[in-house]
Amino acid sequence: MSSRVSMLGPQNDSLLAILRSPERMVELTPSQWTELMRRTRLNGLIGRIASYAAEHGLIEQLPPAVQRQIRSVAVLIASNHRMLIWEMDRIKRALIGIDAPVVLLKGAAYVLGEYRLAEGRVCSDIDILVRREDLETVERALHEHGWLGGERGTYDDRYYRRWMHEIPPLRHRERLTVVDLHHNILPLTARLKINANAFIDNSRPSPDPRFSIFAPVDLLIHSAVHMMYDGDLNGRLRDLLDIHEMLNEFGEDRAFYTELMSRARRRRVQRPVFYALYFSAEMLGTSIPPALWDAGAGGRPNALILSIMSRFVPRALIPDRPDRKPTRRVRRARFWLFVRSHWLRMPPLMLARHLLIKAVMGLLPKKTR
Amino acid sequence: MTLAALDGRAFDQMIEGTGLYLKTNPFVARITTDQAPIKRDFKWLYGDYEVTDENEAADMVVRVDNPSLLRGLIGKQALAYVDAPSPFTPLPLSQAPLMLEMALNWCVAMRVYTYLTFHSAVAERNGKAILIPGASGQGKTTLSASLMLRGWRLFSDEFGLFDMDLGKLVPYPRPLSIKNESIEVLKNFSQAAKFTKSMTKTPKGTLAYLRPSEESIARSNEPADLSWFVFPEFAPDQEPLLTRLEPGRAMFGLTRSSVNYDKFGEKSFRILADLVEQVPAYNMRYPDLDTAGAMIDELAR
Repeated sequence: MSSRVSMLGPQNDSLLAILRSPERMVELTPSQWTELMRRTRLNGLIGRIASYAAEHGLIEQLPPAVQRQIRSVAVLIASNHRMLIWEMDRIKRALIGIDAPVVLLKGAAYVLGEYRLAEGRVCSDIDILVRREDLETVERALHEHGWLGGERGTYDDRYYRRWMHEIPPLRHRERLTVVDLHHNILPLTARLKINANAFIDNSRPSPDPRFSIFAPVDLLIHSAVHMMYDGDLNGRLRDLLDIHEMLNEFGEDRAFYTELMSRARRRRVQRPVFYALYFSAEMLGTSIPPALWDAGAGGRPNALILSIMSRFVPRALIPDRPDRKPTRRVRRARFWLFVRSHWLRMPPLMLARHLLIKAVMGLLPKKTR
Repeated sequence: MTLAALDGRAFDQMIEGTGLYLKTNPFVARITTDQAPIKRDFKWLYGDYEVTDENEAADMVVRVDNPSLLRGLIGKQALAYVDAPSPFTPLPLSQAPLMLEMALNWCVAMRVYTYLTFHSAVAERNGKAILIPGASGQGKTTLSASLMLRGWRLFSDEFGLFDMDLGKLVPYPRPLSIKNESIEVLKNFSQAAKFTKSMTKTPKGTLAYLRPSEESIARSNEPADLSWFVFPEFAPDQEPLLTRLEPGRAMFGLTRSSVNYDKFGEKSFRILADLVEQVPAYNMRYPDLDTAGAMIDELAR
C-alpha cells in the first residue's frame, strides 16, 4: 500500500486491511467489531463485510453479536435482490408492445447478470438506459403503469430534463420503488462527452431476453466514469469496492484489460478508467497489470495532478466513523473534489448562472419556485 | 455481575464514558448517556440484567444526549443517536427514559432479521408460550404484565421473536411500558408491581415502566414452544368471548402483526403456514384483566 494511503490513520488501516484481506477479520477484537459494524452499516459497506465473511467461511468464528448482524444483513440483501427481480418483471410488463432496447445499469445489471460482484450489495433504485429517441415512449409507458415523476415545469425539472443524462427519478405510486431512466451515462453538459449509442450498441443480452446489459468492459467504464466524474466521492468507498470486485471478477479473463484500455481510448474515457484502476490498486490492493498505470499509460494525468488527486481522493473516500465528524483534512479534500466535480459537470458560465439561480431560489418562499 | 451489584461510581463512569454494556438477551446493548432522568432509574429498572464489557461485541449502540447546546438554556431535551444522524425527534428531558427505550426498540425493529419478529407480547408457563399480537392500544402490554405478575415468565411486552430454525420463541424481556389508566389498574392488580415514576405528556400519554420479574431475566436464555396465539380485544362493556380462529384468518392476522415477515421470501410463508396449522389461534374478547387471566388459565390448562 502506498505511503499516502497508509497516512489515513490506524482505524482506516484496519478497515482497508479487512477489505483487502477478509481472512484477517478473525484478528479483530470484539470492541473493534462493534465499531466496524456501526461504521460499515453507516456507509453501505456492511453487506460486503457480510458476504466476505460467508465466502471465507468465517462467520462461526466471529463474536455472537457480529454473527447475528451478518445473518440479518444477508437476509436483507437476499430480500433486496428478490424485490429487484420482481421490479424488473413489472418494468417488462409496462413495456409490452414497445420495441426500444433497454439496457439495465449498475446494481440491477449485476444482479440480473448473476455476477459475483452483486453479492453483498444493496441496490435501491433500478437504473435503465434507453436511446434518446425512445425516451419519451418509455417514460410514458412507465408513467401509465404507476411510476410517477415529480412536478413538471419547475426550474429543477426543466434543468434536469435539458441537461442531465437521466430524467428525474420515477417513483412507483404503490410500491414506492424508483426507476432512474437514463439516456446517457454522463450529463450532457459534462466536459467529457459520451456517445451513449456506442454503449447501447455494444451491450449484450442478459439472462432475461427483454433486457440487455453492458459488456464487462463497459460496466467497468460506467462505474469508473460515474464514480470519478459524476457527483461526489464523500465516504463512497463502496463505489471503489464495486470497481475492485469488478476487476477481480472480469480480470480473470486475460483479454479483459487489453480490451478495456482500447475501449477506453476509443470512447475517450481513459482518465476516469485510469483513476478507477489506480485507486482500486492503491487502496484495496486489486491486482492489476502494472503497465496500466505506468508512466506511459493511457489516461495517466501529469505528476502534479496525480499527486493532488492521490492525496485527496483516499481521504474523501474513506467512510465516516459514527460519533465523529470528519477531520479537517478530510473536509478539505472533499471540498476541493466537490469543486472539481462541478467543474467537470458543466461549463463555467453555465455553472455560474445555475448557482445564481439556485441561490436566489433558496431565498424565495417554497411555493414560488 | 448484575447491574444492581455494580457500585454507583462504576455505573456512572461506564454510562457516561465508554458505555454500559448490558446483556438484554438475546442481544448485547451498549448505552451511553449523561442525562439524569435516565441514570436515576436505569440501575434500578435494569437491576437484574447482567453487565458485560467491551470484550463482547454489541448488537446495538445507543447514546442519549441533549441535541442542542443552545436549547439547554431554554428547555432541555433528550435525543437518541444510534449510529449517526438521529432518526428520532427530540423529547423533553424528563422523557429521556422513553427516548432510550424507543431507540432500543427501533434497533430491533429495523435491524434484526435472525428472527421472525411480531409486534406482540409473549409469556410462558410450564414450557408453553402464548403469543399476543396487537398494535398499541389493544392491551397486549397490560395483559402480558398481568400474566407476569401472576407468575408467568415474561418473554416480551413488545416483540415476539420466533426462531425459524429452532422452531421456538426466544425471550427478549425488557421493562414494560405501561400507559395511562393501565398504570393504576396494574398497581391495584398486584402489590408486587414495581413501577418507575410516571412521565406525563409523552407522545403516548402518561407512561411508566414496570420492572420485569427476576425470573423473567434470570431465565431469559431459555426458549419455549409456541403453543397459542391469542388476539386480544379489550371490550369493557361486553361479555367475554373466546373464539377459535381458523388457520387462514390467523395467518392473515399474524402477517399483519409481523415486523419483518416480508423479508424472508418463501421461508417465512411456509413456516407461518405450518405454524397456524399446528398452533391454535383465538380471538379473546375480555372486559377486564381478571377475566382475561381466567380465560387464559382455562386455555392453558
